[in-house]
This record gives sequence, structure tokens and C-alpha cells, in this order.
Amino acid sequence: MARVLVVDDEPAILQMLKMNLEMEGHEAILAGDGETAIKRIESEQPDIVLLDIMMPALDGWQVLQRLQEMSLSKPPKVLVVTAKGGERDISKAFELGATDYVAKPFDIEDLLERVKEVLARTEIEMEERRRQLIREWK
Amino acid sequence: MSTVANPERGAESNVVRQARVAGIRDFQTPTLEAVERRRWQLLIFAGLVMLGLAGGMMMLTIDRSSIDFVEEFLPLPVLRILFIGLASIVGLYLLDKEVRLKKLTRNLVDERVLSAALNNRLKEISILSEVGKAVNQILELDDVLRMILRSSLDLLGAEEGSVMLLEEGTDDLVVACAEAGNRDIEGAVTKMGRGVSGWVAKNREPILISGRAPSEFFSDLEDTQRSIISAVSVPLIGEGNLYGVLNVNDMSGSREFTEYDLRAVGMFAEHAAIAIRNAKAFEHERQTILHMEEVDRMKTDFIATISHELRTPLTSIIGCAKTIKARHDALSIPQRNEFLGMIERQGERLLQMIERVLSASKIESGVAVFKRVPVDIVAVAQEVVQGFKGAGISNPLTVDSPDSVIAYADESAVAQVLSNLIENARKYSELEAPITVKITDAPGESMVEVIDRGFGISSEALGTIFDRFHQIDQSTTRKVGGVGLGLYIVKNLVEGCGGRISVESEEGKGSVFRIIFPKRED
Repeated sequence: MARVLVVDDEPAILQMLKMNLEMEGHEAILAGDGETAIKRIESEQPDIVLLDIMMPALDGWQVLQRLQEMSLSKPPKVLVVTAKGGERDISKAFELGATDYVAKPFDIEDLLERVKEVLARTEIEMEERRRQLIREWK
Repeated sequence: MSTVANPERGAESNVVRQARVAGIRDFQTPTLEAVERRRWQLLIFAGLVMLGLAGGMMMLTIDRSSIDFVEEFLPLPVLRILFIGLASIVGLYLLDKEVRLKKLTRNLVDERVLSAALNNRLKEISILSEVGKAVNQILELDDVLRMILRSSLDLLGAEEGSVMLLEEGTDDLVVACAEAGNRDIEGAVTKMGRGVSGWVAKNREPILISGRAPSEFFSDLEDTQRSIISAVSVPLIGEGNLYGVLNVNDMSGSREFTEYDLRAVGMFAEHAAIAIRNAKAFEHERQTILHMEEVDRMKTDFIATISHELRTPLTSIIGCAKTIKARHDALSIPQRNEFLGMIERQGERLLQMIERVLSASKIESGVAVFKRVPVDIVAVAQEVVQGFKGAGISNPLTVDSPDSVIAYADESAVAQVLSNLIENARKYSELEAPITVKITDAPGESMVEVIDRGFGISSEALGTIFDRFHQIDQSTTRKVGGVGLGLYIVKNLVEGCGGRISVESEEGKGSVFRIIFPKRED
């Protein structure tokens, strides 16, 4: 199964996601802020990152930017989790390399489904989806 | 003051009476033409009488028999006397009428002069009415004052003058607009009681200076004012409030102002006072509207923020509940308890948030009641801090205080204040930045300080952080969360307990929230 990094400044959401991901058989790593997220990505090399956008200090945008600058050999897929109404600049996230997005408040089952789906995507499918999302949100 | 108006009325009724006596009846106001006509009538009448008398005399002279005939009834001497008497009566009558008509003519000429003066007055009234209209139309106070000043100068034929306004809450009279030749005196300040304008403002009485200003009256007059040859100065009073002074000066000596001028300027001053009152009311309205718009905007922001804030715990609650429902059998007992515990905690958090909104509205509607009893604020602070530590706060949190400090306050209010302030300090600090609650005992007062080494508050934001719905920098709103009611509630709770709150902060260095609680029950 996969190694999932969950980034959110809300401890309750972190805990809830961790338990659900573990029950799905994934390995869950947690980060309460952007800075920790960057460190965890470097040290743990997750397959996928569930990234919250609104966070104190280093926010989701900045994490995506730093991720691009890091030019990892095998960069993680990024599933952006953002509050409803904050979707306005979501195309920016895809330009910064995000793979897909889920609106908050999310349905936990939908989220797990989406994680599974993103993990299954090939490189080409990911690129196609990314282009489609950029078109949709522009 | 009314010495100008009365003779006019007197003159009119006098003329009418004289005209009646002179026999000119069929008119409303006698005219010089009617007098002339009457004079002609009298002349013709006199001519006819003379002609009749002459004819009679002639007949008597030519025809002797008629004399004999007349002498049978009247002896000749008696007839002569009769003739002479008749002629004298007519003559006297004519003389009397002529004298009366002469007098009437003189009065009518006087009246024409007065009516010319009346026309002048009419012009003044129409200027006043223009000013009155302007007062209601032009809402820019400066424009109205300038127009009133110009009109007063026009009317009095003066070249210099000024409108001074009393600065609210001070005794400074500031020149709001002025016509003073080449000198620029707008913005100049005079103290109440100083100089002519100061005297007028202080005594709220108009003043008329003809000739040089008497130095024994205004001992502190400056030289420029002392050289005024003639001046009118009137206070601007509306609804019992002194707004300022309207001055009209003549430095050239070409014009000596009269009581009448003083009265005219007084009328302009009344209009100016109305204009000032209107402008103040208008400004007040404008401020109210601006404030309401601001409150409206804050409410909109507040709703956006609060819906986000309520959604966050709900996301966890619904997520946990769904997990339990879907995987009921797969979950171990500790796992299930953890999900249930999370639902409980997030539910409580939601409840606390709603209570915060409710307590803000309670405070606003004045329903909240605060006790004023002795409270050991050290004990309260320690309890609150323990609560935070139990919840696993990452910031080092310490209480720096003597063993016990008593204040008169509401215990639950103090606890809520401290927990709100610590929560805030945590939200606006790095995870490891220390937070200190410092309590000091002083005679009569107890001081509580919540000190953080967080991001700090910009000086622009400091003025409004205690306002309702206010949150520093909208861009950080989503990052730190919260509904923007915390500090508003804190301030109201502190004040409800008879205390006061202040804040010191420097961006990048941290903030100190300082609360003073009273030690007495008053």
C-alpha cells in the first residue's frame, strides 16, 4: 500500500484522516504546518501528500513552490484539500504541480476513494487530468 | 434698535389723516398728483365764488332799480358787510386748505424718500433670503460661510471681515474664512475672551464700534485691531451653543456703522448659525452612515469567517461518525473510542464557538450580568493554564505571580478573559514561543498581563483590535481561524467587572495584553 503525508493545521482532522488511512492499509505520516511538511517530504518520501491550503506561517501554495524547487527524483503526487469558496485560485495549484483537489468539508469516503484513484493514475493520466483541471478552473 | 422702522408707519398714518382733512378721500394712499388736483379744484371753486360775487356786485351797480328792490329787504351797508364777510370766509377757507395742502405735499415728499429707503431694505431682505436659501442648499459649510461673509460685506459696503469658529471642546476661535485685503488670516487662532471677537464670543453679545476701539474696554487688543475705525461683531449662536463670531470691519474710515448695520449683520449671523448647525448634523449623519457601512461590511466578513470556522469541527465530526458507521465491525474498541472522543471534543469546540457568539450578543443586548465578589485571580489563572497544558498546547506556558492576588470580579468572566487571551497568544505565535501570565498586586488594583513573543500587532491595527468582528489582516484570517469576537468579548467582560484593558505590541516581537481589576466593590 502507499505512504501518505497528511498536512493540516487542524489536529482533529489530522487524527481522523490518519485513522481512516491506516484502516485502508496505508501508512500515514502527519504534519501540522508547512515547514514540517517539507521536512517530512524530504525524510519520508511519501507517495502522496494531502495538502491543506490555509495554514499559518508556510501555507499550501508555498509548500507547492518549495516542492518544485526541491526537484526530487520521484516527487509525490499532491492532492490539494481546500475550503469551499477558496477554489478561486485553484488553477494556480495545478500550475504549481498539484495532481487533484478535494473541497472542504470533505466526505471521508470520497476522499479515500480519490486517494486510491490518484495513486492508481499513471504519469500520462496525471498530466492529462492536470491539464483538464487547469482548463476547468481558468 | 427699532428706531428706524417706526417713523415710517407714523408718517404714513399722518399723511392719510392730513389728506382726509384736506378733503382727499377716495384713495388708499395720497399722491402728490392728487394734492395738485385738489389744489386746482379749490382754485376753480374760488374763481367761481369770486365770479358770482363780482356778478352780483356788477348787477347792483348797473341797475339802480334793483338796488331799491334789494334795499326794501336789506339796507345797503348790511349788504356790503354781507359781501365782504362772504369773501373773507371763502378767502380764509382757501388759505386754510392751501396751508394743509402745502404740509401734505411736504409729507408726501418725505414719504417718497422713505419709500426709496424701503426699497433699499427690500434689497437687503432679498439678499438675506438668498443667503437663507443657500444655507439650505449648499451643504459644504465653507461655501455657506463664505457666501454669508460676502453678503454681509456687500450690504454694509465694507471690505474686510471674517467668520471665526469655536473649536469644539476648546476655547480657541479659528478664522474659518476671511476677506482681509492681502493678509491671509484664515486658520489664525484667537483665545476666547481676547480681542473684540474674543469679547463677543465670551459675552455672547454683539458689539458695534464706531471710531477707534476703546482701549479701556479691550485692554488686550493688538495694534491691528486697535486701528479699526468701525466694526460690527456678532456671535453665532444656535440652540444655546456658541459656534463662533461674524466680524465686519472698516479700516478705511469711509464708513461708520450704525445700529441698523449691527442688526443686519445679526440676521446674517443667525443664518450662519443655522448653516453651521446643519453642517454639523450633516457631518454627524455622514459619520453614522459610514459607521453603519463598516459594521455591515464587518458582518459580511464575520459570516464568511464563522461559516468556515463552524465547518472545520463539523468536518471532523461527520468524518468520524461516517467512519464508525461504515467500519463498525472492523474497528477495535480503542479505535472506536478514539473516534467517539474526537466527536465529543469537536462537538464541545463547536458549542464553545456558538457560546462565544451568543455571549457577544448577550453583552451587546446588555443581558450579561457580572458578579463583583473577591476572586483569587492567581488560582483562576493557574486553573486556566492547567487546562491548556492538559489539552497539549505546544507553547511553554507559565504563571508568574505571588501566591494569591485578590480582585473584585466575576470568576467565570476572569477565566474566560484569560483563556481567550492565551488562545489568542497561541494563535499568533510560533509553536514553541513562550507565553507568560504575569499577575501583580498593587494597592487598590490588581494587574494581569498576558505576554507573548508572537507575530505582534501593527500600530494601525492596534486601534481597532477590540472592535466587534475585527480580525487582524484579512489575509491571515483563514490561517489563524477564529470568528473575530475574542478580543471584543474580552474587553466587554473586563469592563463588565469594572476593570480596563490595554495592549502594547511591536510587530515581530510580541504583544502584552494588560488588564487592571479593581480591588473594591464599586
